[in-house]
Amino acid sequence: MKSQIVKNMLHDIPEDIKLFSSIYADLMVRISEALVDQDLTKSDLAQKLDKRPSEISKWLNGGHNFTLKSLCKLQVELGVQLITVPQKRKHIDHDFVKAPAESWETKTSKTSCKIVPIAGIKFSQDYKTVVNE
Amino acid sequence: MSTFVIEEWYRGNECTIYSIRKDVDNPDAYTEADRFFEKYGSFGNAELEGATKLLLQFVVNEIADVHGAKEVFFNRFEKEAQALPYISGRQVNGVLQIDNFYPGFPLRLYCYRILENIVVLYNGGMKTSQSAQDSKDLSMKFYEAQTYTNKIKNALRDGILSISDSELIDEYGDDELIL
Repeated sequence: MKSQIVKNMLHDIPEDIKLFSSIYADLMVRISEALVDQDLTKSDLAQKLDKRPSEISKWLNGGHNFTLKSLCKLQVELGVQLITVPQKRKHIDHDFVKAPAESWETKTSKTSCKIVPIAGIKFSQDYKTVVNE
Repeated sequence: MSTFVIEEWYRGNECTIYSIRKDVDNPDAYTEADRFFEKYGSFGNAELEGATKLLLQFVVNEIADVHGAKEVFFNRFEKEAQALPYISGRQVNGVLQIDNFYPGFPLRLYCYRILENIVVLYNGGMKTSQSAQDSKDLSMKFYEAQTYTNKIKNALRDGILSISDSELIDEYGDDELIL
């Protein structure tokens, strides 16, 4: 490319656009490979997903934005992992997070943390967690 | 249409992206891809500029550097459901549109996917009506894209152009490609 403007634009692409482009491409490649591997037709997929074939056509022709629900359904039906969300956080710093007392118990049973009461605030409703490193 | 040059625009790990230079005599002249990205990337409209950046990122990173020009990225209306093309629109004479990242995506960029490792980018524009030919900003680019594609196809068929790895070369092995 010769245009300095285009080079600069490429250099300064916002992170959210980079992420969108990358995830979308990965997703499409993954889904298409799964369809080819399983030799699925539009009608097969429609049947598996309990959708009308016309709706599947929309998906296959790109005229559809995936919802989380449709992605989950696809992940199950195709048997390939399409989305993952990191579960483990090294550090949680919930400043002044409000939560009911029962959820505090759930939290403490799952993570190793101590509850630091915030001075002057009722403990059961307002707390601060610090994950033990 | 007179002669034009097919010029390397970006070389990635997975795919070489070419574009068209209309000015055969001036090697410094911008290619059609440069013109497209420069025009819409500084259009003074946030939506268009965001769309341009997304297209640029997709072409350079996803197609050229990471995945190659997978069929799934391009239109395949003649095929059945073996792929999930997220780029919709019509395919005429092998000319493809890169366009549909989300409903209402405002831009169209024409291109010709020769192989998974070679793509030629043309120009494009804003889609403002149902068909590209009826969109004022696009219709000329659409017809130009047809002409470029015909010439490239014929040159490949007649041996004037050939493919070596992920490169286009002419019949003398030269990479100065004038058609």
